Amino acid sequence: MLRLQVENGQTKMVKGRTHRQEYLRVLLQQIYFTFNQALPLVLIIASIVGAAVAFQARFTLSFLGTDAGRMGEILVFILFRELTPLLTSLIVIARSVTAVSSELATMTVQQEIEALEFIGIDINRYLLLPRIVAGAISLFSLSFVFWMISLIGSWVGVNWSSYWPFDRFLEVIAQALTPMDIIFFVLKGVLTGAVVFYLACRIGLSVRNASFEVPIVTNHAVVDTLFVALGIQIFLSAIFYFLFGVTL
Amino acid sequence: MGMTAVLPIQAVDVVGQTCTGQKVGDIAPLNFSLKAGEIGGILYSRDAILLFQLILGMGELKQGTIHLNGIPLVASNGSHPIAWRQLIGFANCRKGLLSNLSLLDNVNLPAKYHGYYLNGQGQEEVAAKELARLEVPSNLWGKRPSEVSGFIRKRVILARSVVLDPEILLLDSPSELFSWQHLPLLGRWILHQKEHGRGVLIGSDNVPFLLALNDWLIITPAGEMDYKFKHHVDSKWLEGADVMRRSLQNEE
Repeated sequence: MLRLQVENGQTKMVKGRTHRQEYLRVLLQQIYFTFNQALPLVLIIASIVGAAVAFQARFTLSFLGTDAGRMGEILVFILFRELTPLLTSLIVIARSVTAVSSELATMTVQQEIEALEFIGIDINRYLLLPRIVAGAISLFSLSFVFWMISLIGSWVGVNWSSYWPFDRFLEVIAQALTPMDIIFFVLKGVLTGAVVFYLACRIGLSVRNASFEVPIVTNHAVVDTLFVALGIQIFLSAIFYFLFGVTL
Repeated sequence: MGMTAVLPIQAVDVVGQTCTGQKVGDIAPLNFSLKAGEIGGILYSRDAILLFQLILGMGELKQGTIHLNGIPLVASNGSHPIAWRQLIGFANCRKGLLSNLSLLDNVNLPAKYHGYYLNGQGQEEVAAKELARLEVPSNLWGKRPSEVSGFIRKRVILARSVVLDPEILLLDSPSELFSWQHLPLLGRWILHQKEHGRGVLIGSDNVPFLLALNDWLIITPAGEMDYKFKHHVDSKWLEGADVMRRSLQNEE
């Protein structure tokens, strides 16, 4: 990127990294809003979902007279591969997609976007890129936290009727996890986060300078990103099962 | 920097169409050359803002040329080199401050984004100096735009337009939101930019203000520069301008 520098009273263009500081500021601010502020909600939902899935799984396994050691596979199959990425995406869409699209739409209406362009600031670099990167990092990180907390919830759910030591529980989970599970888990988080935030930004910026359109585009952003997030999850799950089969 | 013979900006037979956001507008033919240390004006703010958008690369030049320091503003591949915009300071009429930043951070933003340091001075130092020059109280610098009056916001927009030490300053209706008793402050600030060697182009409907400060004026739709304002304007406007000019001189 070119930038201007004053030397001996003369202005000249030189090559250099210029916007890193501002880029980092916007990135960290977006991670704070999307990841940090969503943590309480994720903690509550993850623990409830983990406990509920484990309780149902334990109940069903004992009803069928199946080995309780299959519990690890069930939790990985349902929680790790499907519910964690999906529910985290829904939380992010409900909290952050609405915020990002309405923020950018309001900035457009308030002519802040136009003003940024007027002062030579690249909207894609300054507003979109940090938000997309923050979305990818935050959604993956939230998925990881969700999985960790849901494990604790699951352990509580598993222990409803009889005691199962935590280390034994973790051992069963670790045995059920494969490297491909982890790769697809990372892919789902990062890809969904990036695409959902990209769409939220684009839809937010599409407003036509009238404030009554802000809730309309926000609504539009939620519906579109919801379908896209679901599509990505289904697509990646389908690829996974096509390549590796149903391993339960 | 004193007045020089450098020709910072020259527009010949400019006809263009601008497109910012979803708005499209056609600009009337204009001819002018703005020298360093000169104040030019366009008496009709709509045409001025459309011209400013063209100069800032946010429109399509249908006819004519715009040169900055002898170099075409539109690159040969049709794109507008974004780095050139740093040579051009622009102040919106009313809006344009980022609502999530403080006033000081708003003024700082272009310098921080472009990594610009003026003669070794810190970015905040330059921003603070410009805010002080426009008499924005320092206890408000940490506040957000929504927490201060439109008059303060206007001055912050003006301060932001010069933090990159531009050669050209484009001001869209600068006197708007300035009350009569505060106009000398704005007048002194614009004259300071002129003394600093900047070419200042003002678009405004405030006739006395333009006549009091400007070296030349374009009255659309004629689109040509005029140095003898009395050909086109009412004598009462000239009287008003004289009063304002005297007021500015007395203030100094």
